Amino acid sequence: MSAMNDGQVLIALRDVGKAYPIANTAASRVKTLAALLMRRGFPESFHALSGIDLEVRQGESLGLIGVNGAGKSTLLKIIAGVVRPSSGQIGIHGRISALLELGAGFHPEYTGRQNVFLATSLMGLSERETRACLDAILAFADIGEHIDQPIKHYSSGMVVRLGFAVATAVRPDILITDEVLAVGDESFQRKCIAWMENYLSDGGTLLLCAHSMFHIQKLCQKAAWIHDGKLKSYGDSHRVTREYLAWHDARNAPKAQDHAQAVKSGNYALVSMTLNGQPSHEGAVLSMGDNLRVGGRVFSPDGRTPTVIMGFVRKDGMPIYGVSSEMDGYELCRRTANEFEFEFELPELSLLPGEYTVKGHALDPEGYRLFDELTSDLTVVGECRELGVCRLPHRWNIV
Amino acid sequence: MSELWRQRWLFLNFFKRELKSRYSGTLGGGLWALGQPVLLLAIYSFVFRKVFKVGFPELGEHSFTAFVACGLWPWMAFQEGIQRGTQAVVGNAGLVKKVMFPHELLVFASVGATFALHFTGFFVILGVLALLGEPFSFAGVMVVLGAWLVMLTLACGVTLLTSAAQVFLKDVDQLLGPILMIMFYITPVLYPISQVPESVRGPMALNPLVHVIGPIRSSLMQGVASGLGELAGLFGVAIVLVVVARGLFVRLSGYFEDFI
Repeated sequence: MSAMNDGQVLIALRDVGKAYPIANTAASRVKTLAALLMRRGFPESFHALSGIDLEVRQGESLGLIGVNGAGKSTLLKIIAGVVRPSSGQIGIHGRISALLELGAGFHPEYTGRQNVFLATSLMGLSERETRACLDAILAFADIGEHIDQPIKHYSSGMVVRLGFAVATAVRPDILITDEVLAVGDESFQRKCIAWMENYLSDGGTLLLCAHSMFHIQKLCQKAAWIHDGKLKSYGDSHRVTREYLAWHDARNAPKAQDHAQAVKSGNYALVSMTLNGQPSHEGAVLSMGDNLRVGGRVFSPDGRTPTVIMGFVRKDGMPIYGVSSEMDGYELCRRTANEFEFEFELPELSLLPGEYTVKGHALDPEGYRLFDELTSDLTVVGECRELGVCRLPHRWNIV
Repeated sequence: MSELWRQRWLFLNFFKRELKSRYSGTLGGGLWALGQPVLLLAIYSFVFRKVFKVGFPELGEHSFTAFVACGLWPWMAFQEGIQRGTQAVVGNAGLVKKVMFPHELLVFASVGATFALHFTGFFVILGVLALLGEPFSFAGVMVVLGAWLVMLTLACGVTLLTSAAQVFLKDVDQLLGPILMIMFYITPVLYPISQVPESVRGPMALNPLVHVIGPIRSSLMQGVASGLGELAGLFGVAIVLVVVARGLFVRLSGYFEDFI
């Protein structure tokens, strides 16, 4: 590490892509094998990554974020050299230590100590070099007497400790970790983070893949957001994680414009919903004890009667009550070939004053799959000294 | 080559792991490596000596048991080496998917471990037979070692191909069983090549193992170093095979992760 100039490019990816073969049948596997031997590409492929340009300099720390299946792990594997990219160029300078899966190089029948030697030899250390740093490894892992037990008797947390201890022992130029912080217990996580911070301040280079934005922001100067195999955003880690979280929220929030699309794509859809005649997007204000009538129209692509779920949640998301038309044996009324209507009534609303959300969901007739959702704000007003969210039927008896 | 030399510690670890894990947890331990061929040897001796009452001039003052022993261990190493080695990549999927290292080390370690076990077993059985009065000649032991080396090189070459193909096609392993069984019978383990009809001897000479087992026998049983030219030529062929097979293996190894 010392021999390198500060700011030297350690990892350079140019237009890197990775295609995975689609070879499910025996015939296509034979074809693929032949194609590879002739140095042609895959006959059929699925693109896990495409057009990735990335540069990591000495002393930088880069966090990779993205939803599951976005291609983060594939990218890390390419950089670690486990996966050969199918297009583009890749340049790596310096010793890499990759923790793609903790305990990947471990043999279950071996003791922890024997596994340390196996794992360090995978990193290119000789037996003597391993002996020299064995004490440091054992101290970091801190698993005591268990070190001479076979790994198969270890808890997953102990495997993690040992794996991280080995990776840290070689003091790599580039450290790659894929979701390893999530496994250990609280104190070990703190130890790992402290080690990484120390490693970074000593000029180490870190590539981290994590679902915890806290870890990314804490440890990484830069972040790369991978989405559908492409680099969607790259730069300051705080900015990129904010963008990512905002996108996440928007994705999870119900979207009004999706109804047209849901209808077009032929799914069951809640076309509209009203609260006491008010359209759902306006919301409703009621007094406690009023009647609440929720009406709605549902689109059914195949003309079968859909199922509807009505749900009531407090503003902070705490669920209060939910019920489906199928549970109550209620059949929605057919209006046209593909459109159905329902009305759901709560007589003498027992919700206490406060802010609520009313949710309507459209499901298939069997009630298996949830296709669509509409929400509406509901404000209940009134004078009330009772506690909680709703009034339960009750009485006080004379004893 | 230099890359492989740098990874010698890794090879050593894989090799040790192969040796240990193979019989770990068994009571017999390494004895199993010896036990199986000894059992086979006993059965062959019984069937051919007591039932078929075979005898041929090559035996000389030797027993049929000693004759078979000279060929059986090298054959077992070859067969088992290939069969186990074919699984070397697939069986270490966890490593191949997660850690970067030259995958051929797995193959070399697996084949090497099998050979090491049977090589040891071979000399143990020769020693036992010699103690029981079998007049072996150990003067040409260098020829025997050379023949084993040729066998090992051949097995490595073949296994580099089969283990890589096994990742893509699970049929390879299934095919190997019958192929190796046929090979056993067309290799002169249970009979001398001289007993084979003249007309078939030509095609049989294409089987490389003929030229390995021949010299082992002649040097141990007759004390004559014969077939050295063929052995040396075969070694050259085996080296070329390993180089070519390794080239193909490396070409495919980048895609192991996709298929394993």
